Amino acid sequence: MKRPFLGELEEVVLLTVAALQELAYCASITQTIDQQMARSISFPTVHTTLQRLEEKGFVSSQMGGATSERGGRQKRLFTVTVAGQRALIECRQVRSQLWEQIPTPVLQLWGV
Amino acid sequence: MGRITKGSKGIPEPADRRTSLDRHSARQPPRWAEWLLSQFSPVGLEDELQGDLQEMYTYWVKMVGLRGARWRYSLAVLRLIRPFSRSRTGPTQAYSQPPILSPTMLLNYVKVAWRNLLRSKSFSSINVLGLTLGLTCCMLLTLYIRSEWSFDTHHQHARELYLLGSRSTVGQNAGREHAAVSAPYGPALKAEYPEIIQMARLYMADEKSLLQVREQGKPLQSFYETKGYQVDSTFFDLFTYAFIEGNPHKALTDPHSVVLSEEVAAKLFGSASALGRLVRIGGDAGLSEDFKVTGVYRTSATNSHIDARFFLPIYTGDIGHFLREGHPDFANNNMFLTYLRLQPNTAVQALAAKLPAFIEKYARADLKLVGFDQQLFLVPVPDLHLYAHFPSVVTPTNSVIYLYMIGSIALFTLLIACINFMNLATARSAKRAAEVGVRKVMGAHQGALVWQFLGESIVLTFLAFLIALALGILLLPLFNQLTGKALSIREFVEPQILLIFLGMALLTGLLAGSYPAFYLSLFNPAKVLKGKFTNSLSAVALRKGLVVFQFVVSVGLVLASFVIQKQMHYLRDKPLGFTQNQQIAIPFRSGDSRTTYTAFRNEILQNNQVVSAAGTQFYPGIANLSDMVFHRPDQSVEQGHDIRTNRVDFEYLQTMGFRLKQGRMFSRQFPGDTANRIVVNEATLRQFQIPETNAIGQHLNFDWQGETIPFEIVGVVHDFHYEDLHQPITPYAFMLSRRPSFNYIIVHVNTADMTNILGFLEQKWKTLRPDEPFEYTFLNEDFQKNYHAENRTSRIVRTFTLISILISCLGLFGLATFSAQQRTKEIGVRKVLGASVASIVLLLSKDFLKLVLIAIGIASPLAWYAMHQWLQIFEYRIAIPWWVFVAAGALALVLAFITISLQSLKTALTNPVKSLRSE
Repeated sequence: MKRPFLGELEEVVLLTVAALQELAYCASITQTIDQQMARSISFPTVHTTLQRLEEKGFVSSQMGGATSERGGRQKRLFTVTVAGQRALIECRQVRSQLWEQIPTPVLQLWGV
Repeated sequence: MGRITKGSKGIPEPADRRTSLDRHSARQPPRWAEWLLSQFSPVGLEDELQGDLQEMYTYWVKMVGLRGARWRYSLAVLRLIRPFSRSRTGPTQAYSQPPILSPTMLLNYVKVAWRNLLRSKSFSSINVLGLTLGLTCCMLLTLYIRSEWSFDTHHQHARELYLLGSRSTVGQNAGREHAAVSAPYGPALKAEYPEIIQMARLYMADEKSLLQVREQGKPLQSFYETKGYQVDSTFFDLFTYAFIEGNPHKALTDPHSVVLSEEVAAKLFGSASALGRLVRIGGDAGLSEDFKVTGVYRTSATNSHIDARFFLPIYTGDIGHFLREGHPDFANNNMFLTYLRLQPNTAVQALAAKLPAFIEKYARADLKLVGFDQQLFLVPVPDLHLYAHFPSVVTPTNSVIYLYMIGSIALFTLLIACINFMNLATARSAKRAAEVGVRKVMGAHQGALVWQFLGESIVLTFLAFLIALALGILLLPLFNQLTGKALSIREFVEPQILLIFLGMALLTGLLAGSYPAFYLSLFNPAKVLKGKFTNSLSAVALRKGLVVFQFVVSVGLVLASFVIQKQMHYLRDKPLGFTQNQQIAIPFRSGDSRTTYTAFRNEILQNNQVVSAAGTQFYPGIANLSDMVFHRPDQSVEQGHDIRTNRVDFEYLQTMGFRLKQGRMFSRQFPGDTANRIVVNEATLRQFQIPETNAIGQHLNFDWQGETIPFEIVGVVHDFHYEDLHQPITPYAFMLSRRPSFNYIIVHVNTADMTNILGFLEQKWKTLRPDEPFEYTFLNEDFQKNYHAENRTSRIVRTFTLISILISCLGLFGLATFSAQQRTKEIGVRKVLGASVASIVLLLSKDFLKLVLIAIGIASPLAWYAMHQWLQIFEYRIAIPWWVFVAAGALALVLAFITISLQSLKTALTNPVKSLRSE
């Protein structure tokens, strides 16, 4: 069987989970993406993406942390699994490899 | 841990409801969305989703504002709840995209649907036509029902508004309900009970008033206006009118002010502002004085039983004078509609329970003087139009039963059209069987096929919907004429109503398509592709059942409209016991005009076309307001009975053409005929158990303030209807009036030229009462006014019955066409073997006519029962004759036969060479 593939949206969400660490739950992830990226991803989309990531085994979740601002309801906190870490690292490696293949003069031309 | 219960965030109830609502909505996402989320969250995720979304909501409010946040919240909920949330079936998903989402497949569906429509133009047009008619009926009747239902719901305080009704009773008599009471009730009630915040009285002075505007430099402008009502200055604190100019709460404080509707203002002053300008108003209300315009209100599309075109203060004109100087008491002059506005959340029952005590405290003394008792009750203002039992309150009322009746007709019409669609679709399913087979072989699920066929029927319905919309708008003026309403196109295209119509069309499409869709999608591909296709027995039976149902409805409607029409004829033509035609009633609306009675009568009797004329207090067809309790001399007062009384002039009985049974009528020849002699009707004798033969000379006693006054019976007239035929005939007595003070003069004429005689009467009136308008009504028309609701309903039922029959026949035509097509070969063979045209027509028609016969058999008892129930509201009614069933049945059979013959004749006449040559 083919190794589960990490889509672009999934990558963004997974990275945000990693960045937020123990504060990663659906609402906070959506808000972070909303604030830090120039594009807005709707809440239900993030919710589905997280479910998909969990099915693929890239994140695991547990319940916890009810606060008053959410009406005392529990949140589902996500953490990146080992498989998730690997997938992210691999992603990054693939990208850096490609970046490195771009000739330096071209990069200079781009002003990077 | 866990959820906070709903109770803990209960909102305190601040004084002002609106601000609390605003505050609430700022903090809370839309309630319906919250509810949806709480009920339909994916299993196991309820808690986190609700929490997350609440946090998101707070965030969105900060980022995009309240409206944006509410919008996003609702969208998110709709995407997250079952069944829209992502199913958790795993990665196979990518391959099983529902066909409904694939554009290629959709395009194919549309193409196939379109080809099918074109291939069978006649069937498609039958379907579209039927659905169009059904939808048009439904739309128009929905508008009608909505408009009837919306009476007086738009007032800001609608739920706190009540009309004070009264029931006057004498002795053990049940009494009659009146919408109007005497003048002091309103103010006294308000002063007595703190629950009553405000009251307002309404008085209808003139049916028509003359409005004149004289301004410098412009010619004098005069208009006759109807529907000008006199009201208390508090009126606009109760009823909501949208003022364009002026302040509603101060508008009528000055006795010489007037509030105009937009239309009247435009008529008088054009587009310029009307505020502060002067109008001279004639009639009893205006007395030709000048009134200053203090307000102009928008004539809205919303309905109110008070359909005023302008308002005058109640303390003006004749009635103003009466209120200030006439010392109105609690018993007489019951002519003020009295409206109360209660505190919000008042227990109405509790207030109503206090009203008998109020009568004792305030009204008892006055009531004793006139000898009757009175009970008060409260009617919610929004109920006045449909639920109250008054035949009219300012405007004629309707009955909610008639609305149900009309509503069910609308539904049935649409249902019949749906059945047409179902029957044609299943009957012709053979044509689609191959397609279904191929699709299934190619891997279509049953679900996909169901959606395909449903989609087709919905598309067809929408086509019909668009045509129906256009047709409805086109027919609106005709419909208005039929119903006597003033519905406008604006109401037709209101977004809310359009949405309802759209929903209606969608539902129709689903309903019409449901059965065919499931039926077609169940075909076994192996069988149908082999070409072995037979309509299943159960499907044929169901189709027959549906045809029977259609005709049950149609025949039932025909029967109902026959019976209704017969009853209406009966109401119109039943001998009432007096001469209805050629009788003109002229009212004396003021004290001055009453004094001219004798002179006026003498003047008009000069004309040889005037047969006779006589004054009276009341006449049949209008409410007979006075009654007295009599008892037989050998019985006690407690054993007495109530008799309606009417004080009349000597010639009244002859003028009205009452038929004498015993004794004699009043006559000027008998000097002994004074106020203490009476002529009674037969019902009186029955009530008092006086044998007819010794009625003459018998006395009836009347007790008044401890004194017993005997009345002598000098004559007995045949029973006659002094009220409409909803009411039974009860005891009635005529007595002479001491002095000529009559409310009306009845003029019996004998002429073919009514205009001429009316001109003559008016001219005589003008010479005696130059400043009072001449008014008249025809006696027979006054009587018919009591059947307003019935007449209107009868017209509507008749029209829509026709339409429903038309749709049924359309369907039958379709089925007949189909079966004739199917049997083309068979008929060809029969003809070759020598069958006659008649036998073939009979062969083709037999099956359908059988169904119609069954339908007649089912419909007759049902319709009989329903109509029997309806007739109970009339005290005088027809017995449903047997021949209406025969007539309705024959009509249905003949129509069905003609419909079928159109097709079967054509088939039977076809040359067999043509039908047989292809094989």
